[in-house]
Amino acid sequence: MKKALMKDTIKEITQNFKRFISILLIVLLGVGFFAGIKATSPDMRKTIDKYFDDENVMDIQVLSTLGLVEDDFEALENVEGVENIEASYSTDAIVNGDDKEVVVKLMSAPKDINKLTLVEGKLPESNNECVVEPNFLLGTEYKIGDKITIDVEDIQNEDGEDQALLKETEVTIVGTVRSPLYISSDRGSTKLGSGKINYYMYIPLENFDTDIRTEAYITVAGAKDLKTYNKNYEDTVQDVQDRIEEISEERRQERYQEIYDEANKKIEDGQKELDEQKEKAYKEISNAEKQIEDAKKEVENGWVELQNQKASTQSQLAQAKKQLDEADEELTSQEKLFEEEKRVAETEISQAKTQLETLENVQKQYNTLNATLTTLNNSLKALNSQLEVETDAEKIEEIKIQITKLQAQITQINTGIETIKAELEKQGINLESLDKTINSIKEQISSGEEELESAEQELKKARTTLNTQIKNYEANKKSADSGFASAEAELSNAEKEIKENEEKLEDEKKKAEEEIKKAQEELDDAKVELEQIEKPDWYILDRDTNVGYVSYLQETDRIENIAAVFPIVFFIVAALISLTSMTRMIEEQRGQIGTLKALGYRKRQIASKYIIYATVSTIVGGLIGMSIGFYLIPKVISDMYGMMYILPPTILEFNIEYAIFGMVAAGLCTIGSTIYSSVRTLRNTPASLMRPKAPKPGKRVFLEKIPFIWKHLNFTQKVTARNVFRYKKRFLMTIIGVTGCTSLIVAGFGLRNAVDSMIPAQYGEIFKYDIQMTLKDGLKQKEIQKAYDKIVNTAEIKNTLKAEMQSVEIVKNDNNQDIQLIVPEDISNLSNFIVLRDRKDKEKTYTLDEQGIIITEKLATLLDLKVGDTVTIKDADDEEVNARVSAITENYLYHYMYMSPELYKNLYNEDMRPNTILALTDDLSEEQEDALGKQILQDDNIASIVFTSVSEGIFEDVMNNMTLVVWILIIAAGLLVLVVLYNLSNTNISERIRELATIKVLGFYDKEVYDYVGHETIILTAIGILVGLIGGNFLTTFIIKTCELDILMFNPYIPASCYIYGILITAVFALIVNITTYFTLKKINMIESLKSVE
Amino acid sequence: MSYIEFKDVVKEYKMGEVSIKALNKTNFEIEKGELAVVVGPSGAGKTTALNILGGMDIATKGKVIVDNKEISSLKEKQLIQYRREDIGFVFQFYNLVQNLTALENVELATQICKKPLDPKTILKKVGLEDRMKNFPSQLSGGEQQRVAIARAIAKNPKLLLCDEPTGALDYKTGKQILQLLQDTCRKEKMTVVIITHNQALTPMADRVIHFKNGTAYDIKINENPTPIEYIEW
Repeated sequence: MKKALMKDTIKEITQNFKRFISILLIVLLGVGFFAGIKATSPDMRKTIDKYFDDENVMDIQVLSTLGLVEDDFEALENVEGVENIEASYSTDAIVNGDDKEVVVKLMSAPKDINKLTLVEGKLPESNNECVVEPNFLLGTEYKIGDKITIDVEDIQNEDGEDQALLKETEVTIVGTVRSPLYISSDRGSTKLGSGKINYYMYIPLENFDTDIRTEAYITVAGAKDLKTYNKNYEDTVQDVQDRIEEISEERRQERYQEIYDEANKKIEDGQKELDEQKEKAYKEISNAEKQIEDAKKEVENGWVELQNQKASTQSQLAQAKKQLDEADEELTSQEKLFEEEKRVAETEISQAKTQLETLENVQKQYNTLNATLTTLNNSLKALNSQLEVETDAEKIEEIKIQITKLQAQITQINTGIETIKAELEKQGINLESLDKTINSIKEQISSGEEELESAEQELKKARTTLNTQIKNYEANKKSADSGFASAEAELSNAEKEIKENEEKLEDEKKKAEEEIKKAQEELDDAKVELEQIEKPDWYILDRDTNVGYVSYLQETDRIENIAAVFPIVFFIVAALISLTSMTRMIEEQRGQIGTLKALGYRKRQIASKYIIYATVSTIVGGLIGMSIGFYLIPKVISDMYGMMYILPPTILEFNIEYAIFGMVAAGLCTIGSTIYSSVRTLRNTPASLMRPKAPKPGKRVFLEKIPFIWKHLNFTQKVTARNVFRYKKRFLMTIIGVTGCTSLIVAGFGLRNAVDSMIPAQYGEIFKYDIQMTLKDGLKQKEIQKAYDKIVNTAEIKNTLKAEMQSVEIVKNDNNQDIQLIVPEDISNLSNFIVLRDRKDKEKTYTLDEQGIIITEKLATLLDLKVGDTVTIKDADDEEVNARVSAITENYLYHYMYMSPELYKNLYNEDMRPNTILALTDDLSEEQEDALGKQILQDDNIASIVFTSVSEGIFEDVMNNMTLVVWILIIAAGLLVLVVLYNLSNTNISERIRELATIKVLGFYDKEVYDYVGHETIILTAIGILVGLIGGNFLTTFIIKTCELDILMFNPYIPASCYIYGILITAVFALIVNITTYFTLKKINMIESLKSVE
Repeated sequence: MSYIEFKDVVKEYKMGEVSIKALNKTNFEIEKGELAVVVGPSGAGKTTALNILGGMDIATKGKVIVDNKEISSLKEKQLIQYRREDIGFVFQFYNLVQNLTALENVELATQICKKPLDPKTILKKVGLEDRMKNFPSQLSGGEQQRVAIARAIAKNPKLLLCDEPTGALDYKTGKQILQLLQDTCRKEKMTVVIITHNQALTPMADRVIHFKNGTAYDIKINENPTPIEYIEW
């Protein structure tokens, strides 16, 4: 470029500074907005990618319906692409506090994967330590260092016995952490408590007293290098997921077999044991029965025997008695006889005795004679013997003398003996038998006496014997009687005992049978259960099942949607503005261009001046715009989302891609339009260029064809009308600019209203209740009533309603919207607590009935449900029922489903069980509410209490953020409209400067001059505003649709005030521009403007 | 005292350090109802003088009096009013509003005046009876200039100022325009000032003012001005 031309270019910028600035500004706005809003979504995504990389968040999560064991982990570890794997245990638990009960997600503290960010304190090291999320402390008023008790359901150990899951249930909070798995406020649902998990909590894995793990967290090799939101990340992870899927079949089968076998063995063992026991029991029973039977028989026999014995004994006794009586009789007669015989015998004896006495005397004499004879014989004998032997004759003579003496004596004695003999002869007694006789007499006497004696003795003896016998008999009889009696008693007792035993046995038998039956039933159940054991399902999940993560990415998608639309508006405007500005600029310099061309400059050289002009303004504007846009907009937007997501600060970076794209786009607009107009101009010959461009010819407008209107317009109006339609480009641009401005402002206010009115509507008009109290899980009807009565009797409480609330899902597509099912106990009282009505026609209220459920509007929109559709409702126990949608009700926050108790009963075959109490109170101050809350929570049966005012308060911050958005939109809108209108006005003036100078010369006052063009501007602005109101309506709807979270419904109603703001603020901006126009017009130099073209 | 008086009028343009005197103590007078022709070479200051006379520019020094009104001391608004009520301008390049028909262009001027003439009558007078509803682009140069003159006359001004009215026209058309201006002067008793660089036109004027180097160096009075049809150039 020639030096002169360069100088000219620089001069051009300084001289045409206003134009330069306006191009710069529109580029700044366009590029800044584009860059900022475009970069927001990537910045937010990068933030989460980095966060997930930093915390080593799992890429894949494997869950099994039967838990995972060591072998599973080994198998998983060997899958190609698995970089790291960590076992984890998680369950839902209840933490009981002084007066609160919260449901927590209890997880094992991770080591490498899903690392926790320590916020305060330290990580848990021993089994009696835990860490919680920061909100836990805020929500429960626990502090670090406090001890809490974790209440978890028991697990079954290998033997099928219940066993405590945790080694330590009383743990100390040692710190607070953030988990990358929970970046949103969603903590999932549970079967416990109110159905919602309130917080998460980590304890060391070692505290779980089981070898089974609930999850395997896996990182995929190389996944960290990829961006988590990109397709190639998804593909990489999907490959590994597929490979895990491949091995899962085998592992599932094995695990199933393992569990099946184990259970089966248990059942078999049980059956065997039962059979044995059964047998044993039956044996025992039959033994017992036999015993009883034996005993019975024995007793029977006993009876018979006893009877027999009794009979025989009695007959014996009778016989004995008879004998005794006979004996007695005989004895008595014998005694009588004996007495007579005795008397005879005694007489005989006494006779014999006398005889005897005589005989004895005889004998005595005889004996004495005999004795003397004997002695004499002896002495004779002795003397004869002596004589024989004696040789001495003297002696012989002597002996002979003595013998003769002796013989004499012997003869005397013999005579005596002979007399005796004779005497005895007389009596008939032989001497020789005297002795005998005596003896026999004696014998006779003594035998007689003896006989008597013995007879008497005998009699006596017989009597004694008889007596004894009688005595014996009597004794016998007595003993026999008593013996029988006792035998009878014994037998009776035995019988009784047998009967008792029989009864007892019967009982025992029944009992045993029952027990056996029960045991068998249990076993049968176990068998059925065994058959029902399904092969464990493996869930091989990726990050897409993390609700927070997914919804965060959805947010970024939404922002991307907005980013796709908004900048287009700015770029269109930027293109149009630079086109008009540069065209005008080149038009203005026709002469100069002609001169240069005539001087022999080449087209390129001439055009380069304008291109440089445009390029410089574009680059400067773009750079400033980007440096603001890249940092301010992502920051503001992500700060807004920061309310809902817990993430590290957003990474704000200069996004080269968008920077280049934005610059190129802006460049295309400005430089493109510059090239376009310069080429068009340069095509002309120098001569024609040096002549003024033929002004645009006047034309009649269509209005003139309607004389009815045209006639009634005054002159100025006609002029205005014609001018309005004369400059179509300007007409369009003004309308677009103003439309954009009004739309943005309406959208800003509309959006704020949508969010602002949502909460008052939700908590003021729809949810009229002031308190929601959740009852403790598993209370009995009585306890519920007690708790309820207590609340009813609280002074501050005006009205109450019992209801069942639980988390359900509607089964449709892949939807997993968490829905709160509300079953009020008293339908007629419901309207005092929750208003069911049509959003558009607030007078139209709905009542619950048996026919169907009422669902909330956003839910219906999300699931594309209409009144009359039938939906499948799945509850926390995976039980599914079908119900018809009978109405769709106004609702702004979360999803609800209302059901009448009758319908509930029809669907679930059981009565609803209230677990929630809603209450209306008097107007209470914050302190009063606190006090009331504390008072209510003193009841152990109340698990939690939520004041509507508190829920309402949480959203205040969101509101403030929305106000910020509104301001951003208003400022953007204002800048847009200012730049557009200012630019157009300048172009307009410059284009029509001769005309304006002419009317000034004609003597138009400044105001009249202004009116001459101002009316056009006003009309165009008015049209723009009108179109903008419509555009604003669409834009608001669009923003609401794209920005809205699934759980929210912004109020889509745009109140008149939004439109009024749109009109007023646009008008104010237009006015500002018009005021500057006024002064610009005033300053128009008539002479210069009317100077003939040189 | 004359109807128009220029007394020691100085117009100085400051271009940074340098100042250029477009008018340097110019003095002239024009009487009411006169047809004055200002002649001189390019850059002699005639247009500047005319602009000051027409209230479009302000003299740096000196007095300009029109009909006993010292316009050189008027405020901005008064100047506008002066232009509005008292002055009719005719330019070399007509300066018609392209978006308005011939009639409307005239009306543009009349609607702001207190005692305007009827636009249609005027257009008839200038011979554009049939072209009233035409846009400037549909008219020839002479016709456009006639519309411009009609617009100026319709205001019923005290002064009709014409800056090279025939500059862009061919001889014949130029003559017709000059005829029209002369007729207007004579018939409507309007004071007309015409700027031209064409010396040949001077005979048609009652008064000829010669400009050179920012000064009216010679003023001649034609006791018997020549009608246009007799002037040849």
